[in-house]
Amino acid sequence: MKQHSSARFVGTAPTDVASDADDPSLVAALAAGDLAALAMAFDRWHQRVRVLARRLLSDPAAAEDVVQDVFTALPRAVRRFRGDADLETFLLGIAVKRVRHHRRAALRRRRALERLRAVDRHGPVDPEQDTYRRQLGARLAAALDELPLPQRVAFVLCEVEELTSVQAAVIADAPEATIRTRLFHARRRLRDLLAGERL
Amino acid sequence: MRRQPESFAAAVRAFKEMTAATDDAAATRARVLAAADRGARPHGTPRRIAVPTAIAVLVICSASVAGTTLAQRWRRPAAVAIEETPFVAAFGWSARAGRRPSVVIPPVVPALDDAPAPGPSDAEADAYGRAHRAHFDASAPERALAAWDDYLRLYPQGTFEPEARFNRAISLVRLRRFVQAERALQSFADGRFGGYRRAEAEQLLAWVRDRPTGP
Repeated sequence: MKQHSSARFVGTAPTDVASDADDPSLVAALAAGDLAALAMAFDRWHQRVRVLARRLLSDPAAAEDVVQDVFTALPRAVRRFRGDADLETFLLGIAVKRVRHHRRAALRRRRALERLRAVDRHGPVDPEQDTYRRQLGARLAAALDELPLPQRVAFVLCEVEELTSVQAAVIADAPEATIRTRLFHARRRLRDLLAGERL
Repeated sequence: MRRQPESFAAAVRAFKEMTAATDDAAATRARVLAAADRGARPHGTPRRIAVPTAIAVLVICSASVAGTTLAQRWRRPAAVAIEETPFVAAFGWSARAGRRPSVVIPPVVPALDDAPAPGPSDAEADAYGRAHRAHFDASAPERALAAWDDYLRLYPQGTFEPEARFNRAISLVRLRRFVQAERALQSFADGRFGGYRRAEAEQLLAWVRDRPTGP
C-alpha cells in the first residue's frame, strides 16, 4: 500500500493560521475564506475523511471525490457550524451527506472492476495470509454494498470506526436510537450475506 | 447457517486494513485550494459570468441595431427598388413591387469600434461545459479527460485553452497516467501560460516525480 506523508502534500502552505489552531479560530478563518486555514484543515483531516469515505463507498476514486467535495464545500458549510460538536465530527457529517451523491457511481465502478477481475490488481505482498485477509475484506465490502446506505453508515461508524452511538448519531444526523436499530439490522444482514458466501 | 463471530470480526478487521490506505492527496489538495482560490479571487466570479454577460450584451446590441434599422426603414421612403431575382419571383413579390416601393435593407454590419470583443461561440461554450461538468460535477476523470481532449482538438486556441489544458493535466494525475501528466504540467511550470497555475503545476510536478512507487 502506498503511504504518503503529509510532507508530500502540495499546495498552499498554512501561513496565516497557526498550525495548532483550535477549532474556533480555524472556523473563523475558514468562514472568512482563508486559504491557509483551508490548507490546514485539509492536512489535518483529509485522511480521516478519505478513510471514512472509502469505508462507505469501497471505491478509492469515489472516496477521493468525496474528499474533494467535502473540503471544497467546507468554507461555505462552516458558516453553519455552531460548535455543538467538534470540527472533525462536523466534517465527517458533511462527508456522510456527500457520499450519497457518489454511491451509485462507486457501485457501478466496483461491479465493473469485479467483472474484469481487477479488484486485486495491486496484488498482495504476502501470497497466502495477505490474500486471505484481502478476500475477507473484499467480501465484507461486497456485503456492505448490499446494505441500504443508512445501515452502512451506522455499521461503518460504530463497528469499523469504533465510534460511540452518540458520536455516530451526530455524524449521521439521526437519533441515537435509530443508529442502534440500523446497526442491529446491518449486523444481522451482513452475517447472513457473509454466511451465504461461506466465509 | 450463521458464521462464527470470530470470522465476522476477522472480516471487519480485514476490511478496516483494506480501507485504511490513503493516496492521491496532493492532487486533491491542489484542486481544493485552486477551487477555493477561484472562489475567493475578485476576478474569479466575473470569469464565470463572462460568457452569459457577453451573450446578453450581444443580444442587447443586436436588438438595438435591429430596432434602429427598422425605425429608419419606417421613416424613410424607398431608396432603391429590389431587383428581380429568381427568389423574389418565386414568392410573387415582383407583382407587388409595382404597387409599393421596395427598399433594400442594408446588411447590419456594426462598425469595427462597436464590435463586441471576440468570445467563445455557443459550440465552444458547450464543448467546454461538457468537459467542465464531467470534471467538476460528475468527477469522472476518464470522461473528463476525453471531453478536455475533444475541446482542445476542436478549439486548440480557444477562449478556455489554459483552463482546459490544466484540467486535462489534473485528469491525467487522477488517472495515474503520470508520464503524460508530467508533460502536460511542464508547459505550465515553464510559463507557457504566464503565471496561470504555474505554482500549482510546479508543486504537482514535484509530487509526480517524487511520488512513492507502490507494488
